[in-house]
Amino acid sequence: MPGSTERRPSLAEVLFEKRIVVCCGSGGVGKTSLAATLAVHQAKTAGLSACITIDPARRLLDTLGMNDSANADESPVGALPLRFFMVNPDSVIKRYLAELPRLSPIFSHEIFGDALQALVGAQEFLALRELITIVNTKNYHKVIVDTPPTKDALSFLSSPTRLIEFFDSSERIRRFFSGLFGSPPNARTFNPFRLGLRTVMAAFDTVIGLTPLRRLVEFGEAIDGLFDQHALRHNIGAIMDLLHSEATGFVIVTTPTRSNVRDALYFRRELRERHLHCCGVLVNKTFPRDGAPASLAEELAERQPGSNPAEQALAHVYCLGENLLRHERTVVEELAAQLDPGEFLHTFSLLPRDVSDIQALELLSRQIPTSRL
Amino acid sequence: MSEPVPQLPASSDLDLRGRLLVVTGKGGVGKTTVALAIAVAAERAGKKVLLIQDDFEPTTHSSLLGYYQLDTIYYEPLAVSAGVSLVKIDPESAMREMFTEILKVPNLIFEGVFRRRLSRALFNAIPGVREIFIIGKVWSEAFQFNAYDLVVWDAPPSGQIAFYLTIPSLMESALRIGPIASNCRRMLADLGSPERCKALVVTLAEALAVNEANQLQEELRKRTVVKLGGVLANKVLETVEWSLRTREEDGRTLEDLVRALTPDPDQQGLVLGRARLLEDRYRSAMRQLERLSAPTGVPVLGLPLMVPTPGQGLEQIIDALARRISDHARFD
Repeated sequence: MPGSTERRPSLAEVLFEKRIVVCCGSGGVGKTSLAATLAVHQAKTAGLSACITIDPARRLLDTLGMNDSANADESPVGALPLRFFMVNPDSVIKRYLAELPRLSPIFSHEIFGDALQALVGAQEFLALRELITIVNTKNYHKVIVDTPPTKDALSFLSSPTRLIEFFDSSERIRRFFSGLFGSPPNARTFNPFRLGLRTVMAAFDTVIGLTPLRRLVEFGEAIDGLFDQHALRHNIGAIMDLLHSEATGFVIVTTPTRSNVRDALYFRRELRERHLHCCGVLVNKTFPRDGAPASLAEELAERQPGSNPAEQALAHVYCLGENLLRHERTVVEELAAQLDPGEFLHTFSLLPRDVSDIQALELLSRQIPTSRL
Repeated sequence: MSEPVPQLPASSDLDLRGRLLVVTGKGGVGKTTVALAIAVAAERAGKKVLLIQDDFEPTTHSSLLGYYQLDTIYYEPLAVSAGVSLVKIDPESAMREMFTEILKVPNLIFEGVFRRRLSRALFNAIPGVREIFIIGKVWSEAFQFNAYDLVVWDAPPSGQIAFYLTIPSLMESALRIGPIASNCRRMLADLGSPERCKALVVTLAEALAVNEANQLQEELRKRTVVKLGGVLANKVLETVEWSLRTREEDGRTLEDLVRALTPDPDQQGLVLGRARLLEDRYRSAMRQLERLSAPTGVPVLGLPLMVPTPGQGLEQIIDALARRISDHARFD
């Protein structure tokens, strides 16, 4: 494997060392499948393990026998000492909404839920809170966390701070607008800022009218009421401690395409800026190495003229494999060059079909060498 | 004797006439590359195109920047070729433009009031504010400013796009009267007109991507006024399809053909191994695409997997994708 110099730790070593492994990466790289694969490996080698996941498509978890009754479902997988926890932010948010009668009727509950998910990072936060519960209350030897698919890699990690920021901002916004909607205490003193504010507000009024602003503020207040802020801040502290602890390691999942590797490296930088421990990178869906000499593709390509169409096309299929291998090798080498010697780099081969059942997870988990040094 | 060759169902050409194309799909399916190929195809059809990027993309590199050899793009449109301009929009700049250019609030006053932190706070605290400025800017470029024939919006991914497109009707029903309500009504009329605006969903022939594409189609239909113009299935293994088809006509089995290709048993094993894996992937991909519940009449266009090689760089790849789109889409 390129980049696996003798000093690089192996994936198995990292899995042996860390109690909590958080898988992150951009969408479509097979994060959920690989998180489940790592969990299968942990259950096989270390005993009782937990896998926490958010999988909106639900396909994988459906096959594993998960149901949708609560926000955190627990489900045993086959004969393995492994439990899957499915965090379903939708049902949590719906439950909150049911307890919220004072919400202005202009915003349907459906939209409200959307807004929560889109802007507040509630989904990510709920996954993290689930993590704390599991780590603290059950005797799991190993925990694997699959981070939710989000608009950007950052959003998961920044969700606790974003929540705090969100509440701080709503404070600030409310203070800002209270001067408009209420009577400002110091209205008599000349304040150039306030004068400017009036100008802008007059403009705002022309386009939007002030009513919607008032309603939007009301909307913000309603969201504010959803969370117990004191408990929230306490939770966030505990989550941050856990994420920064020695027992926790982050693993980035990617595929061997340039754009995904770029995302992976970007995410790695973000982890480092937050002083979170990046253990290494998993490259998923790589074309399997078959040890074929590069010359074979050239030979077959040269033989094409004169041969019949079916043979020609087959030679092209072989060369497609060759092109994939070469391109992916370059991409993985570029990735390896960016990693520290202390970070692992592990590739998972492309399977004949999409991972959708426990058998496929088994197959994938066999791609993690278990022999320890 | 052999299984029939699975293929993408034949469908009508993409109708890309109109002024705004909303290109969306699951993250990682190649949305930006496809949006770029559409813009290039439109340019070749003689259109003056504006390609809009959202500021969501955290990375500063993309196929788009690579193709035009740029380091970054800005809020000010940048003409990168005879017919294509690029712009990156963020809600803060969009808000500034609305206040200072359209409402003529002096810049200094705007600066004083909406300092960066405050506008950040505004976007964080009130759901919908970010979206309304973004969608407002996209709409203005497509239907108000008239500087371009076609606006291609490399839009937010499936998880968020429905919320963006719902905002105008939300605003409209919340306000009913006043200038913004009437603006929202005009916005809805434009976005909801299939002659003027279409959504295009980009997907991969993989289980999760198809699930998400189906959910997205459903959401667009139920919650937004925007009509679906087509689905683009990206990275289809067309070489494999070609091989399966010619083999069917040839009549020989894969094993026979491999033996004809090389007498060496080791080489036979290698060819067979790669062919079987890629054929399995292709069949599985086509099974997934069958589940693409495109409503009747919505065309599905397959785009080939293009692997970068020394002889086939980004330029050739975009060119090939644009040619495919030109062959199967109409802009006039």
